Order: sequence, then C-alpha cells, then structure tokens
Amino acid sequence: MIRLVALLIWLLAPGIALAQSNVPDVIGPQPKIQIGLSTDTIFITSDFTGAVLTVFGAVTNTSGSPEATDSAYTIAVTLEGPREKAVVRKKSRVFGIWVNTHSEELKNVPLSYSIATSSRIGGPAGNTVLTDLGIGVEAIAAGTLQKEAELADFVEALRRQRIESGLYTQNDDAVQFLSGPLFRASLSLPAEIPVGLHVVEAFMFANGKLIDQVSLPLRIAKSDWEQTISRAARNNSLIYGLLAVILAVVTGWLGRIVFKRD
Amino acid sequence: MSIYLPIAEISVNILVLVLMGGAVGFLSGLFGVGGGFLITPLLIFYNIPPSVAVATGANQVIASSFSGMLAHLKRGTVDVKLGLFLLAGGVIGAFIGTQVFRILREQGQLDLVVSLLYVVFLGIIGGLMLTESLKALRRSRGGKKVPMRRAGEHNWVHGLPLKMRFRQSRIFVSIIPVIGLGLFVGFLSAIMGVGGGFIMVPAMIYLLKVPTNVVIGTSLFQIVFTSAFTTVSHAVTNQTVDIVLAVTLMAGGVAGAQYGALVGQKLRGEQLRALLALLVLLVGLRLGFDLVVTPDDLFSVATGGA
Repeated sequence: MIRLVALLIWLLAPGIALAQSNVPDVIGPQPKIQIGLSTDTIFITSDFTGAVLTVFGAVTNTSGSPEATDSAYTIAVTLEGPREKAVVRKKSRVFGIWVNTHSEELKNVPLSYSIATSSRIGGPAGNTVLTDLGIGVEAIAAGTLQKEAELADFVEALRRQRIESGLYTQNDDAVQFLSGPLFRASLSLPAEIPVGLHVVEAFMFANGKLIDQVSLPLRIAKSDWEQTISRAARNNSLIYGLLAVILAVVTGWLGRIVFKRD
Repeated sequence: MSIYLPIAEISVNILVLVLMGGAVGFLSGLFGVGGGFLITPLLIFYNIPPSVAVATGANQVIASSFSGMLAHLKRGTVDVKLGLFLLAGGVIGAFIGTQVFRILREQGQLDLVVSLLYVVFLGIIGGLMLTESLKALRRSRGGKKVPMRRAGEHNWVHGLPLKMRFRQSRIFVSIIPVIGLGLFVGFLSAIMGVGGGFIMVPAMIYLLKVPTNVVIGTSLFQIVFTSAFTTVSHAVTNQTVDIVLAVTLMAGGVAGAQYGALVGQKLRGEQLRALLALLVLLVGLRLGFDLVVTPDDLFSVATGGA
C-alpha cells in the first residue's frame, strides 16, 4: 500500500515542500486522497495578522498516468473552525431609535471556514454538488434554511459579515497539482481565526461525484500572555476579578505616592 | 503601537488609550469627578464592545477613587458609618445590576440600554450643570458673591422611620433613604460602569443634609467599595472585565488627575463647570445620534454566550 506522501504544513512562507515520496508501484482499484500536516497544533500570537496555510496531499491508487491526474480529479480542501451557535439580530426603528427587534439562533455554525478548490467551482464538482454535500461557504447553515426558509436574511447576514471579516473564504484554483499525484492547497488563516479544534478536510471528485474524503484535526492555540489572561477570565473568574480590583487599588495608591499633593 | 485586548478581543492603539485615560483623568482632577461617565462612552466610541466598556469602566473607577479616598481618610473627612450603610445598599444594587446586565446581554439589548441610560443621565446632568453654572456666572458678573446653599432645613426624608445618628456627619436620619441611595448608585455602577459620584454627592447634600466637608470623602469611600464589588461581580457573572484595558486607562488616568487638580486650583469654578457641562452634553448628544441614525448594517452576529 501507499504511504502518506507529503505531510507538510507551511505557515507564513510560501515554501516548497520537500516531499519524501514512496512512488507507488502497486496500483490499487480505488483512487484515494491523502493529506498531511506537519503539526497538530498551530500557535499564533495576538499580533497575528493572518497567514496562508499550505496543506500538501496526494492522490493515490490512480490508474491513469501522472499527467492525467490533474484533469481527472477535482480536489477541495477545507479548514473548518470550531462550531458554535450564533445569534443573528436584526434592528428596526422603534420610536425613532434603532433597536434589535428580531433575533434568530443558528446552531452549530463554524466560527471560521476556508475552502480551496482545484478548479473553478462549476466544473466537475459543481457548486450544487458541493453545497449538497455540505461543502463550501454557501453550504454553511444551509440545513437551517431547508427547515425554515424565512431565515434566509439572517443566514445571509451571518455569511456576509464573516466573509467581510475574512473568517469565511473561498478560493477557486487554490489547489494546485505539483507533479503527478501531488497537490498543494492554500487555505487562508484570517487574523481573527478562533482558537480551538479545527478540522482540515480534503475531498476528491471525479465526474462530479465524491470519490474519497479524508480529515485531520488541527488545533489552533494562542501562546502568549494575552491568551493566559482570557483563559483566567473564563476559568478562574473570581480570582481574576479580585486581581483586577487589587491592580486598580495598587495603581491608585501608587498614583498618590508618585504625585503627592497633600 | 498597538496592543491586543484579550477580553474585548480587538487590537487598539495603546497611545490612544493612555491619552484617553489621561484626558479623562485630567478632567476628573480638574472638576473633582470620578470620570467613569466619560470613559465608558469614549470607549464605546472607540469600538470597544459596550459590555466590556462598562465592566472595565467600573474597574478603572476604583483606581481614581482610591487615591482620593486615601487623602480624605487622612484628613478625617470620611463618615465611615454612613459610608458602610451606603455600601450595604450599593452591594445589593450592584448585584442586581450585574444580573440585569447579564439578562440584557443575552437578549441583545445591552448596548441599547447602556446608550439610552447615558443619553438620559448625561442630558439631565449636563443640562442642570449648564443652567446652574450660567446662572452663577451671571450673578458673579453682577458683582454679588455666590451664596452656597445651606444644608439644614428638614425635608420629607426626615419623616421616615428607622432613624440613626451619624456622628461624623452630625445628622440624625432614617437609614431607608441611605440604603436606597446606595442601592440606586450601585445599580447604575453595574449597568453604566460609573462610580456614581455625580448622583451621590448632590443626593447626600440635598436629601440627607450631610455637611459638604464630609460628602466627597464619604462618597469616594462608598464608590471604591461598590466599584470593587461591581468589578468582581462582572468578572464572575459576565467575564467582561478587561485587565489590560483597565490598567492602560488607569495609568493615564492617575497621572492626568494630578495635573487636572493643579490646573483646577487656578481656574474659576463657574466657567469650569460650564465647560464640563458642555462636554457632558456633547458626549450625550453623540451617543443619542448613534441611536437614531440608520446603521450601516441592520444585522449583528453574536457567538456563544456573548
């Protein structure tokens, strides 16, 4: 069998992967997709301004020539952030003042979502195929819509705002075949990427049909003191509050010593 | 130079924050006010989420009030007994306020209520201060000396039961309005992130008839402890106290307050008060304007508990 071909993840640098490949000599019956990450955790600092995450992978067990792989298969690679409920509120005018009057709760919505595809969507794996499979920005919260169509405005607003803030991205032609079965997918890591457990998933399509998929977990963590503070605020809120008070008292007291005025 | 605020979850310019703290500190030293009612709206204008602005405002108030309280304790112008009764009410009020804050936040109405309260209070206080200082200015221009209102006549408050003697203040008053006043100010402290001196001081003078020399010290005493309780309460219930933001503001604020106090001694009171009144009205107007003008996006998205 074929081993994983290139398992490298590149942050901030559009580097070139040194693929340690075991060239397939046994041709299996079913084409498979493989991806790899060089780490299972990415640490970002609070001054993180966004980066490109490069995922390397390979199509294995292909029967055709290496050159044919590119045209035969469509690859989509996604990076999905932690899922949480989102409350979307809509303002309307009440006695001349803008007030949140409607609110809808959308359950299980990814906080961030980035997708890269190997050819323009609309090709072999068309937009609807993707959406039906729950892949792509258009598919986010689509399940909610099937049940309650009147939520369209709210779902649309959620997607629009997250696209604007870079949390949801869709990049066509961002999966490139390097040589033969090897490919490279570029996913965007936005500046405001949420911390937590993300999932990298790769999908392989042929003739508009999903043939294989594979997923890997990827943890995004903040490594600095700001993260320590926000964790303390959540997990040790009483001590955090007391500390905030002590800090304020000390600052006030220091101010009195430094600028003695009576 | 930017700094990331871990609770507000945005990057802001640290210089802007220090200057903001310094400017409000300067004003608070100049006018002898806590400054909480200016810092919270300014933070909101600077895109800090109102929930964080309020809770952090309460934290920041402790620093500015604490140094003032120390000075008054040294001078012996704090009625500790009266302060403790006010504080008892304040703690209850702050607790209720924090819970109301949480419910409003869950309902998505917190930002609106905070803005509305500010518009109303800044409008009333700015309006009252402006008319009062303009009157005083006109009178002093006429050459007459401005008479200070004498505390002493009795009012309806003195008909209430449960009376108690407060030696330092030389008053014999029912504890109902004392605790009630503390409760009201504690509630506002939790919802608006203010110390509440702007209500406490006039209420103590005109309602409780506390002599003016102990009013400020006693008010500061209660503000320090109520704000401390509010801060802890917000940290536990809403997790919206941003220590990084608070410390940055405090650093600027404490320094600014000292210079404000120096300048304040050289300027004339009525003109200063008229200026502060205009500033207060301006901030209120701006907040009110934001409520009325059509927002760019009618939709807003909140995740998780926020």
